[in-house]
Amino acid sequence: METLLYLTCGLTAGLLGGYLGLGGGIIMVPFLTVVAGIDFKAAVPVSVTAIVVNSLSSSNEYVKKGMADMELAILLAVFMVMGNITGSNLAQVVPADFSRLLFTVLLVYTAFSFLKGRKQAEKLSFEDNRTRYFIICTILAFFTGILAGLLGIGGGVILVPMLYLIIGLPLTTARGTSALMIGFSAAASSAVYFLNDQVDFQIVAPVIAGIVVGGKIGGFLGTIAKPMVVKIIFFVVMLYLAFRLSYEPIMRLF
Amino acid sequence: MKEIMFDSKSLIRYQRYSRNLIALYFIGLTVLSVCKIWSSQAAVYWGVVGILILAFLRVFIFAQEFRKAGLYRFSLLSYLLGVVLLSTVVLRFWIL
Repeated sequence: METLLYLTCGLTAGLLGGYLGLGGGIIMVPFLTVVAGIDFKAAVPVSVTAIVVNSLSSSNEYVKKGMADMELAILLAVFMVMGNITGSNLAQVVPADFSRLLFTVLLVYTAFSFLKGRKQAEKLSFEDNRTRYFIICTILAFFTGILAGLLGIGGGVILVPMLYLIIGLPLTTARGTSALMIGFSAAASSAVYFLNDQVDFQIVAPVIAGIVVGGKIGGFLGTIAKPMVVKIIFFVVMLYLAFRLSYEPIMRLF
Repeated sequence: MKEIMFDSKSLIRYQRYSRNLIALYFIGLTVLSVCKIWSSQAAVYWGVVGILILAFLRVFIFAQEFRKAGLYRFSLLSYLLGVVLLSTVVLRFWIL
């Protein structure tokens, strides 16, 4: 029964992640914590391990269509991986309540940003921006890495807007580059958790199986489903999970 | 002069085979576990090790393709990424 619940978690994360172009961590961690009742600190290592697999799958589609900037991906990945290692080690000492509240903020931000959508790409000055904003982006990649390692997410929700709005990459290229980078950064986090014996092997197998299948279906559904319907469902679910995730830590505060 | 670009074919092929291998392995383990035929933590443990190794080896494909394209700085950067990734293991076992 529990295995089926974990499988459903992976499937949901894969479906929504594949459709919305997310790594899945933003769905997996609250799902495992709120629905499956797993401790937040146990959900994070499972999530990052599944993200590595999801990145292999989702980035391939973007690379195939030439929608990933390889040079930028490898450049920013170095800094993001450093941040990831820092974040994953920080997670050993940061209280779970703090991480849960931080995750809630990220969930609310993601829910609203997806509902609102992003403005269409303007005239781009890609090469200029890439040189001009390189330092800002490497610093941001490092801090995104810390946050991703700490909260068990891939970091796509921060990376995609950064690559799109600051560097000026087209939205699809930003998504592709982010999907590619996430594979390296999640692998670094996963290795830290794995070496600290924090990966729950009973949970990780069905979650990975689910995310692979869900990712495939999600990618297919993305071509036929109505975006607004999915966005509204995503918005409601995210806000509900945010409420459930933050309720206990807030109650403990007062 | 013809410009040499990053050839992503080998990367695509590698990622596809890796994904299929991981999918088969973990779907198989889950089905066996759900049907209560066989369940092994050790099998999942080695599966996770496999995922990490496959993710790590991707660095070398990047390095090789960048080198072929004449982008030597990015090839070196790929190796640097490999060193940073390896540092997690080194730090855990030999320093901390």
